[in-house]
Amino acid sequence: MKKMLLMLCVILIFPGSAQALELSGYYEGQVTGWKFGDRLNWQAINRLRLDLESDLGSNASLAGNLVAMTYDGLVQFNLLDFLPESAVRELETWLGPAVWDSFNYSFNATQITLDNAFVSWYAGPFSFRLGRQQLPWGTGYAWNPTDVFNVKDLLEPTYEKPGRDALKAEWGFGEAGGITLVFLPGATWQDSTRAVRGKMHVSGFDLSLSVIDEAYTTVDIFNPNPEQRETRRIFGGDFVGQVWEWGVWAEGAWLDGPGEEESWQFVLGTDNTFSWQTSLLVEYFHDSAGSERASDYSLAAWLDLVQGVRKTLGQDYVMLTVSHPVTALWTATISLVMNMNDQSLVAVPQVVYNFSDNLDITLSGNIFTGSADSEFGALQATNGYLRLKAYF
Amino acid sequence: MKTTKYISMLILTIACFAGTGWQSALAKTGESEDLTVKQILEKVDEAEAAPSSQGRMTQVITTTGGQERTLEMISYTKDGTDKQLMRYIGPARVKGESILMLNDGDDIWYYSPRTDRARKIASHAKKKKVMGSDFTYEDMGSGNMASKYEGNLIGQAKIDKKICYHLELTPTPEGPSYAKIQIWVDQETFLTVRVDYWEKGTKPYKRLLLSDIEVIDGRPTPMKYVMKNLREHSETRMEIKEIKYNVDLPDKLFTERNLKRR
Repeated sequence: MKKMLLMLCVILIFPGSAQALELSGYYEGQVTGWKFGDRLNWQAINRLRLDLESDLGSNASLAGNLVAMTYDGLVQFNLLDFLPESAVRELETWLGPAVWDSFNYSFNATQITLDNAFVSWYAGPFSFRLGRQQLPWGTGYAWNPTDVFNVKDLLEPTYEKPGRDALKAEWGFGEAGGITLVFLPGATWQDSTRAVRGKMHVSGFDLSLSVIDEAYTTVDIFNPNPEQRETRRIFGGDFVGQVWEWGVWAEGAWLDGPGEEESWQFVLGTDNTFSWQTSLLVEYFHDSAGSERASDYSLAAWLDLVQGVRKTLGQDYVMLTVSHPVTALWTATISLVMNMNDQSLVAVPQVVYNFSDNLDITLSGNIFTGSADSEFGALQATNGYLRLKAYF
Repeated sequence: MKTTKYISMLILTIACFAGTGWQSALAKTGESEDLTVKQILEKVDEAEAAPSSQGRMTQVITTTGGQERTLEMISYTKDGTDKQLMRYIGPARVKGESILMLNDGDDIWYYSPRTDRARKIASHAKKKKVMGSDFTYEDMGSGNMASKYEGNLIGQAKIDKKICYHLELTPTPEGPSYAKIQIWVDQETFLTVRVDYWEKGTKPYKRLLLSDIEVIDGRPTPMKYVMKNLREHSETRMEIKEIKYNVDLPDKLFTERNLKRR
């Protein structure tokens, strides 16, 4: 990392060597107030993203970005605070009161990460990209059943995600057709994730089919070796287009793997913008592996959820987002995500003000409601934050 | 004197056809040639849609409160308005974001460089203001006028010393979302000089004024576009800083995969 920063300094000091190098990025500062029961805690986050881009001749380029983050205030959590009491009691029965120590989580006070760094090259209809890179996959907005590369934040689905180390090859044809091959190397071929996706543009619709062999990690704290590598095959498909003037999309995946039952997930979505500029987006998500009732949520499922191994607990979810540009500079949005099985809900109100050409100010929050054993009800971490984002 | 006579003749001609339903059919040009509304719109398409172009432009948005925001973009067009690509080059907040419009604006993809995602967006999004400006996606990729509008010739009017056809047009089923528009077309160059947009009601809610005509590569080109939102009292001023016509642009430039190229 030090070498990388030194190289940056050299490039900046000797502009002759940086003729083709473009620097950009942003600073993001955020102050969050968290309400845990009767407690109010504060957390401050500073995030600096530095993007670098350079042409390597007419048919190749280099791009990447570093992210430096600092945390202050509330930097230590215990993940068990986000589990219902019944699940914590069950855990204590198995592992004793010392179990709490196993679930302490703290943010490093300072983190520097290489989010993306890749070389792209092009040869006619073919393109190749090697390195840590973004791998967008699927047409869903809040949920992507076919996307094994990214973990979306349900409360902020469009927020950027860290890149993945991969080799990607694409063969493009037509206006929006193509075949994409992705290889994420693991220790062995079996332990690597491989994906292929074919895409076509037909009658105004973008359609695609994909097959993914995913290598992934499961966590079982009751096992002497809690982390296990597993593989599974996923068959997926998606489309995006419009019916009358409503945008419509769907994405589905059939998941098959050793040691688990076959399951399937799908997303259906629609959106519209009305003449008074208000936008409406509705998305429905179904996961056949989810539970129909809160009482059926297993301890293992809860642990997977708080550790980010699984995305949801229930079978059926709906998201509703309404957004309106109050003026050219103010945009107000409200999103509601509901677990239809346990009737719990999270509301995300947000106001964004464009203070100047390169400065956005966001006031937002997450309000969790539901019974104590429900998915969003157990996550009693209602919070509000103020975020500044200054681009350069 | 000749002009006055010509206007009188034209008004007389329109008056003769008024009430017969024929007023939409015919108009007089400086060459004493009878033109239907469709023919006028075809000539507008011919005058305004170059075989190909490459340009750099700025958009200055003036909000209701008088604050200004400036956007800068490069644009490429091919086959008239059939293929259009816009890439924002400033400010840093939107740099790299791109919009690809194909098939006369019927297919639109939006690309975000930070997520490297190119997503097809539905036609309703054409009603959205582009980056908070007073231009919507359908204003930017207005497409082929002759196929997207039909209507009547109201008469003629003088705008900035130019004698113009004054037309009232309603969108065809393939056309944009406006209830109707009125346009003023310079009879000499067949360039649009003003457009009023209606949603509903008796007053227009937006007005586009095109001016500062310069001849670039043999084509008269309006270098300044001002879109006024008459309801919100905001304004967006778009200025062409550089433009070249008849440039050799490969088809692969206008593909979804090219959006991701960097």
